[in-house]
Amino acid sequence: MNNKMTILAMLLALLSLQGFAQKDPVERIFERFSGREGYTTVYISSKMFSMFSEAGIDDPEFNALMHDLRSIRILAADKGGTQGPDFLDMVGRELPANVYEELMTVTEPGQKVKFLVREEKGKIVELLMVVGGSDNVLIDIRGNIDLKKISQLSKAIRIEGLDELEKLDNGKK
Amino acid sequence: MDKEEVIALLERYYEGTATAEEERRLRRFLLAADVPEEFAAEQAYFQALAAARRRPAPALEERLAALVDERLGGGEHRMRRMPRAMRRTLPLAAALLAGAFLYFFVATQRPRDTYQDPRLAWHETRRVLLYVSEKLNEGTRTLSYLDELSLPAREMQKVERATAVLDRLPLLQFPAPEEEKRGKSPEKRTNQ
Repeated sequence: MNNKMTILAMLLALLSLQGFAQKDPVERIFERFSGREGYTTVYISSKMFSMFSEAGIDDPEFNALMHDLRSIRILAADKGGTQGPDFLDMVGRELPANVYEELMTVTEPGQKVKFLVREEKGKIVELLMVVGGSDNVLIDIRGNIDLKKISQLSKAIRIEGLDELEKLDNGKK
Repeated sequence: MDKEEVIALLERYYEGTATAEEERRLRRFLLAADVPEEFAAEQAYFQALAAARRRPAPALEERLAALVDERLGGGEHRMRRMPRAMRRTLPLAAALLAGAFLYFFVATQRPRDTYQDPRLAWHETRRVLLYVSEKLNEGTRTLSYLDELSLPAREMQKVERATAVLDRLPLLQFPAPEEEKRGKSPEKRTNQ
């Protein structure tokens, strides 16, 4: 009787463990392509983000943005590699629509970019950018995500670039 | 047993390939009284082994159990006192504990950082975030363009909202004396 109970308990524990240990669908996609020929995967953790300022990288604005992020993962199909599955299709098929909300889709000639977000307690905790078409890329950003800050990043760079151009023009004069 | 057979069995014995039955035969032969002189060394070895093999003391098991009981202060009695509910839940608790350990080993496993050099990681992070930012802005640029298109409509809405407030203002004003005499309400006047 006792042995039966033990076996039953073990089975129950294993079943519950299976539920617990199940990785989220995005992680599963990354794991599936990790190390596969024709695909490149990159993982940068929050530990590495915290090392940016220690490594003497002087960009307080960028480092402050990194402070809120937990990880960045990139999965990209090598150009000219084997014709694999389209990440846009895969994400649409495998990601639960009630968890990942579509933020926007940008359609360009030959390329389609989809932004998906996952929210927890009203805050965006995951931003997923999926590129399909000429490029096949999946970018997963996790942490406390401020879309405004991310959006301003390229604007700031553009302004910096214009400043540099102005300086160059002034130098010529 | 003839000499060749004994030699063959000894060889197998020393190589460790002799079966239990062969070992027994060899032992019986070498421990007998009439062993040829050439096997004297082997005979001495087997006699030493036989002397070393001691049988356990009689009732050793019982005595050991009694000793254990004594040290534990009546272990069996104590086991019997363990509540039944506890005995039943103990395996479950153990299984859950094992599951929790497994969970921490399996589920919390994180991938390793691709870059070991923070500078390389910084460049890649920046490149990726700029790419995301650029694409994000491409989408919102279209939205802001649509926003601009709808600007007149939104301005009109503002004007309408403002005039709606203004329409209610006469209610707060004092009515003109002649109209007060005639008993006309200011609301009616504005509606006319």
